[in-house]
Amino acid sequence: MRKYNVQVWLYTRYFVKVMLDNVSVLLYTVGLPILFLGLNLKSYFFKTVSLAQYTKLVLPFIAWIIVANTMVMVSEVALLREQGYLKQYASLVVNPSVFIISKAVVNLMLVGVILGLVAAVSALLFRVAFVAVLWRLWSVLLLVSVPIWGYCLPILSFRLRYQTVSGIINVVTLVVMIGSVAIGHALHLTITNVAANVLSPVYLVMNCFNVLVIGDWRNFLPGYLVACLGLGLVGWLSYRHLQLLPAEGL
Amino acid sequence: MDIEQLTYTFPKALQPFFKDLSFQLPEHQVNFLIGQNGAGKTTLVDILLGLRPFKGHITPTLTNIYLNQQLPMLTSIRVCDVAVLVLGIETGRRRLTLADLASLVDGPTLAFLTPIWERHYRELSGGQRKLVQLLLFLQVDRELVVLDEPTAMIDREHAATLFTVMRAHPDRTYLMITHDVRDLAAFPAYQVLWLADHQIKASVDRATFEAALPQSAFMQAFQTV
Repeated sequence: MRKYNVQVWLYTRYFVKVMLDNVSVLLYTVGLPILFLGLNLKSYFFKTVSLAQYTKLVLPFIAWIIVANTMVMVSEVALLREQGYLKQYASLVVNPSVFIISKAVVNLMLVGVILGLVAAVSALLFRVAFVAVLWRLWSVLLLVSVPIWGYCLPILSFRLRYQTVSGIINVVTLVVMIGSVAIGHALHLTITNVAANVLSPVYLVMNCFNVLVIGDWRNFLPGYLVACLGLGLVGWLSYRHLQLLPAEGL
Repeated sequence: MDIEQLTYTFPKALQPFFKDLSFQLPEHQVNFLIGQNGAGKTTLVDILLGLRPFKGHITPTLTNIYLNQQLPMLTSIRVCDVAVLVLGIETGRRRLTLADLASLVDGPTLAFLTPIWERHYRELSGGQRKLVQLLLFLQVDRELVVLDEPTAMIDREHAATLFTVMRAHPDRTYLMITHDVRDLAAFPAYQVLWLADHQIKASVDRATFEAALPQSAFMQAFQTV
């Protein structure tokens, strides 16, 4: 287990270096969600927003940030595979989950920074308490990490050519988000709706934040646990069918 | 290593690509795999590494490592970062100094890495970059080492360094895909496997190879790969 942890640590450090190597992409990744948030909610600028309002107004953006960034991380693993990287390095590491866990840690760090900025911007523009929003956003990120990786990991079970990875990621992200919005319109936000928590990452993210505001854990936990276990199982099965070889034989 | 009755069919293909393929890889020596582009060399290697499902028997199962033809690495990282990544993963070390390196790698690798230890990847030539990874991976202890065209795009001086490192670990079984007949001369004993028409067409040792007439089918084949 120690060797596995060291391998995850080394790969996390390497992937962070890769991320910091391209500052313009990093700034775009961090800045774009903040820009969209501002553009869409400018009518609420400098008005006091309650946490219940904040959940409905801002949390769909948070869901998009988490899902989109996780999709990008998964696509980067797929691109590494298409470059022959997984095939070579898989024989070096304890098992290929080292790559995925390392990417998940990098994703947590990156999204954690973005959510920190969102909290700061929210405190400035919507007059919400910075610390009260920040700890809830970070807690939401931790709570939804496993289910959202469960949404994204099936992509690694399919053989995709290098050129098609980005297109597939964009399509899947759009389908997940539009589907989530459709479910959101069809259903009222209720923390007890198990199916909606499983099927919609937007719904799940909003509910996680909501429960951290209202504290109704007893009604929330069954739906959350089903989402966690169900999507965790999807992720595990996807990992079992992980494709290590590039689609175009190198 | 015995490969018996190996049959492999590509996903969605109706006919097997390899059918009842049988051959041997003598252990603790270098085995060269030659064949034209598209002959299935990399596919065969994938099967031997356990990366493609197949029918048949491969005995014994050896721990293995695979070295790709070319692997992109971040140009902004330094040689020492690559060393920490490869050797750290293998040894469980989070940090690695040049002083530590002497106890972890063989002499030729130490001699090659020492002068470029702090240099960024972008400052190295393509051949040097490739050799950095090849030599570091060859420090990883595995029974079967598979090298996919390791001498492509590197000069003969660097190829000689690679072969010196390979000879420094004679206890391993090597399988090397190559298109360069000059690679064979670096080893005192070897086997050459010629893959064509989805079969191992010939399997010859060094003495047989060197005695073969230039007009023989096997030698003619090597001229064309």
